[in-house]
Amino acid sequence: MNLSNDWIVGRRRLSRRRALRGAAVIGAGVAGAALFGCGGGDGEQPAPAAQPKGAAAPAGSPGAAAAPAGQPPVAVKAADFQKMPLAQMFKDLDPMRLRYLPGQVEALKKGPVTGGTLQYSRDAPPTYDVLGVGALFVSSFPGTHNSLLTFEMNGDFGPFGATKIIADLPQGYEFVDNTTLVFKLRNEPIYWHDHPPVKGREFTIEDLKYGVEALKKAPTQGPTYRDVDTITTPDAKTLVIRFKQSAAYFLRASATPYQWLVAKEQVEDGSLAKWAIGTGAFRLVKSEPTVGIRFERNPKYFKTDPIYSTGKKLPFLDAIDGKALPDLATNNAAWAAGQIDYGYAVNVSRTDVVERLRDRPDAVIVMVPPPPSYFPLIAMNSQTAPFTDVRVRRALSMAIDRQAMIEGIAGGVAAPAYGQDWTYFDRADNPWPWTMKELGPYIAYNPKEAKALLQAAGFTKGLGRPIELGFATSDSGTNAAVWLAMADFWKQELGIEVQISMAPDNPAFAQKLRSKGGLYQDLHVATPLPAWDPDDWAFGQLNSKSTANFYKVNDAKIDELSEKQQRILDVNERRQVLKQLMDRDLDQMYRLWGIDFYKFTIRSPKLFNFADHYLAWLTPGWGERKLEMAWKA
Amino acid sequence: MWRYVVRRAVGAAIVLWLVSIFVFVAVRALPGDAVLVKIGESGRISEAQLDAARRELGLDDPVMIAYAKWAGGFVRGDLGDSVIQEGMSVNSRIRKALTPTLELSLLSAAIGLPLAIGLGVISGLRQDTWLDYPLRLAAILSLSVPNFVIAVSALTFLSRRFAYAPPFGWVDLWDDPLHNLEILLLPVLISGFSVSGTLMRMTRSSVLEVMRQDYVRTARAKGLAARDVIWRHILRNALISVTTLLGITVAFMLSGSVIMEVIFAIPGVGRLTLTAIQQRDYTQIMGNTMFFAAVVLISNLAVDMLYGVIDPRVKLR
Repeated sequence: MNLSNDWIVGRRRLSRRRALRGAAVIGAGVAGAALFGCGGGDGEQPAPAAQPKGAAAPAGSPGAAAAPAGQPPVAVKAADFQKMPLAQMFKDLDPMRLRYLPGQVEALKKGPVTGGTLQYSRDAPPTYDVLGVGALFVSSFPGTHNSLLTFEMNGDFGPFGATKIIADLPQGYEFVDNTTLVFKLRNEPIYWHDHPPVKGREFTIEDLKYGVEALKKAPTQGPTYRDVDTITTPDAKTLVIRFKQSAAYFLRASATPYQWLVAKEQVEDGSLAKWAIGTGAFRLVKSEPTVGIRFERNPKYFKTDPIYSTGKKLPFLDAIDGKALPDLATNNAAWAAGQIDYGYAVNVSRTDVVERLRDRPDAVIVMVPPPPSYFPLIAMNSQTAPFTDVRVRRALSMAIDRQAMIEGIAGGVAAPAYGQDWTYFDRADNPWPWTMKELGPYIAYNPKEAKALLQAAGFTKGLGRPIELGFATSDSGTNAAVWLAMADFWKQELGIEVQISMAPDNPAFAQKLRSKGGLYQDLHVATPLPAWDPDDWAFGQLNSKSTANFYKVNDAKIDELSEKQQRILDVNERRQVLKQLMDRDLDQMYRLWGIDFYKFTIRSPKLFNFADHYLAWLTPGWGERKLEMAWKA
Repeated sequence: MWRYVVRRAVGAAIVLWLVSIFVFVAVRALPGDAVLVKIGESGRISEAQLDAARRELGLDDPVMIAYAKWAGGFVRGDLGDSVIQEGMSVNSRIRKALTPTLELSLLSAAIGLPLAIGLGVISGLRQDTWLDYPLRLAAILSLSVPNFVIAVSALTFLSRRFAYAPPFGWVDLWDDPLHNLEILLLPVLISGFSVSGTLMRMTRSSVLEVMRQDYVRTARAKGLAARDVIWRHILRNALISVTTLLGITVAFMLSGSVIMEVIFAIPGVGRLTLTAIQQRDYTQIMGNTMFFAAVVLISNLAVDMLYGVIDPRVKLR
C-alpha cells in the first residue's frame, strides 16, 4: 500500500495536526486502546497518612510538587481530564498525589486491612514453565514465587532513578569483592506451597542453590548468568555466587520478574509447566485458559508488612481473581459494572480515559511514564543500501516532526521516544522520559537539513525507489498511527514512497524477523520488551553478537562500549559509558524513533498500596508480584 | 435404511479424511509457529534453543510424517496434546469447552427456533396484514444487523447506563445454576434473535408456497376445519424445507459462536479455536476442526433421516 499525501502544504502545521488527530482517533478505535485489555501491571501505591516509612516526598520527585501542604488535590473529573494540560498532569496525576485524596484519607488513617479479593482482567497463562522458552508468559503472575532479588516498591517512591534493589527471598545480599556475591537466607522458616509434589516442605539452602542453577541453564534467564563461575553453599544459610569477571548488569537483571526460584521436585517430575508452586505470597488455586486464574493467600508466607510497621503478615488480600476478558468492549463493560477493580491504559487516547472516568466517577486515575526500553520504533536494515549511509538515516529522522505527533496523536500526553532507560541516569530534576533536547540534533525536526543530507547522499528525489516497511497488524492502535505518521513525514518532506508490508499477526511477523536471511528489505516496526538493566538495551539490542540485535547493527564502537559497560560496577562510571554509547547510537541514528505515550491506570478508590510505577508497567504486568502489599478497604 | 446409514457413514469418513489433509497442510503453511508464540518478543532465545524447543514439540517433523503421527492418534481417538497449553490434551480441552458451547447453542436454539418457526408461520398465514409487517421487519433486522453489533451495543448500553453487565467469569451449570444462567441470559437472547431471522423468513416463504398448492385448496374445498388444514397439510409440508436449514443452523451453533463467546467471555469451542489459531496450536486446531466437521456431517445425516419421518415420499435407500 502506498501512503497517500493528503495534507495541505500551504497550512502544513495546522493541517498536519488535524490529520494526526484523525489518525489517533482511528488508531485508538481500531485496537490499541485496550484500556483494560492488558490486564497487566499492579503495583503499589504510595504511603498512607498514617506515617509509613518515608512519608515525605523526596525533593525532586514528582510527589514533591504534587501535594502542597493544605491544598489536597481532589479526584479528577472526566471533564477536567479532557482539557488538562500535560504540565498539570505531571502534578495532579502522579502516584505521590494519591495519599491526599479526600475520599481515601479515612481508610488510610486506619491502615491496611486484611481480606478482600482483587478482581481484574487476566487470563491463565498457557504454561508455568519459567525455565522453558515461554518464560515471558509467566513472568507476571502475582506473587506465587520469589526470586533472589527484586526492586523495592514499598511505600513512597523516590525519584524514578533511585529505585533500590533488595533481596526478595533471602534476607540480604552483599558484594564482598567485585566478583563475589553473597546471599544470606532468612532466619524465619520459609515453606513451599502445600501442593504436590512439593507438599509444603521447608525451603532450604539447597533449594536456593538448585533454583539459581536451574535459572543459569534456562534459555531466557541464562544470559543473566553468563558470567557466573560457581554457585556454592558454604553453610546452611549462605549462598555464594562467584563470577568469572565483574558483571554490572547482574543485580538489576536478576530482579526481572521471570527469575522465579522453582522446586527441584517439579522439575524432576515434569509438572513445572502445569502448576505454579513457589514460596510466594499467593498460592495458585485455579488456572483455566480462556476462563481465568485465581490466587489465594499463602498462610505461611514469610514476609511482614514492610510499609506501615503493623507487624501484620503479608499478603493483605485474601485472593486475586483474574477473569479472562478477551475483548475491549467486555473489559469496558466489566469496569463500568464494577466487576473489575482496575484497568490499565496503554497507548490510549485521552478520550478513552475520559470515557472510563465517566463510567466510574469516583475512580482514581494515575499517570506514569512509559516503561523504559518499551518504546516503539522503526528499525532499519542497516546492512542494506541506502541505510548503510548515515546521512540517509539522519535525514529520515530529521524529517519527523515529533512535537506535532505528540500534540496531534497523543493530545500532548507523550514524549519523544528513545529506548535507553532514562531512570538509570542521574536526572533527578526530571523523572520523566528523555526530552527532545537531550536526544540531540538528529531527533529535532529539521526538514531543510534532512533534504540537504539526502542530496549529499546522492538522492535528489526520494530514495530512487519505494521503500518497504514491515508491519505487524497486532501493533495497531496508536502505535500504528505513529508509524504511519512517520512514513507520511518521509513522503511529505523527502518525497520517499513507503510501501507497507503487512504480516497477518505476531507469529508471522516474528517468523519474518527470524527467518534465515532475515529481516524486511528496508524497515520494520518494533516494540522491544522493557528491561530492568540498561544492558538489555545496550548489549542486547545493539551489540553485533547479541541474539536480540534484530536490526543488524554492526558498529565496532558500539560493540566496544556495550561490552565495556558490563564490567563497570561503579554506577557513575557505568552511566558515563552508557551515555557515550547512547550518543553514538543517536549520532549514527541506527533506529528511527517516534513518540511514546504516558500510561494511565484507573482503579477503584478502595484499592491501596497498589503500585503505579514504571517498573510495574503493562503486559505482562511485571509489577504484579508486588500485589503482596496491596490492600482493599 | 441401515444400508443408507452405513453408506453415509463411509462417505462421512472420506470427507473427514479430506478435511484433515486440507486443514493439516493449511495450518502448517501459516507463517510462524507455536515456539515463536511462546517466546513472545524475547530476544534472549538463540536460534539453536528455538530449534531444540521445536524438536521437543515435534514441530520439526516433515509434514507427511507429522500428518501420519497425527492421523495414527486420531484413529485411536487420541488427538494428542496441545502444543501451547503444556500438559493438556486436545480431547480434554474440547470436552471442557463443549459444555459452555452446548449450553449457549441449545438455549439459543430453544429460544430462537420455536420463536422463528412460530412467527414465520403466523407471518405466512397473515400475509400482508398489520401482524405480518412488524414480523417481517424483525426478521430483516435479525438478518441485517450482525450479532456482534447487537452484542457490543447491548453490553455497552447496559453497563454504561445501568452499571450492569452479565457476570464475567465462567461458572458451570452444576456448580451454581442460577449464576450460570445469569451469565448466559444476554448472549442467549442475542444469539437466539440472530439465528431466528433466516429461519423465520424461510418458514414464511415455505408456508406461503404450500398454501398455494392444489392439495391445500382441495383440503379446504372438502370443508376441513382451518386448524386441520394448517396443522395437517400446510405446516407438515412447509417444515420439510425448513428442516434442512434447521440442521445447518444447529450444526453452526454447535460449532461454536466465536463472536458471542469472545464478547461475553464464554470459554466455548469457538473461542478455543480462535485462540488456537492465534497461537499456532496445531494439534488443537486439528482437533477442533475435526470436531466441527463431525458435527456438521452428523447433523446433515440426522436431517436426511428426519426427512423420511416428516415426508413419507422420501425413501432412504
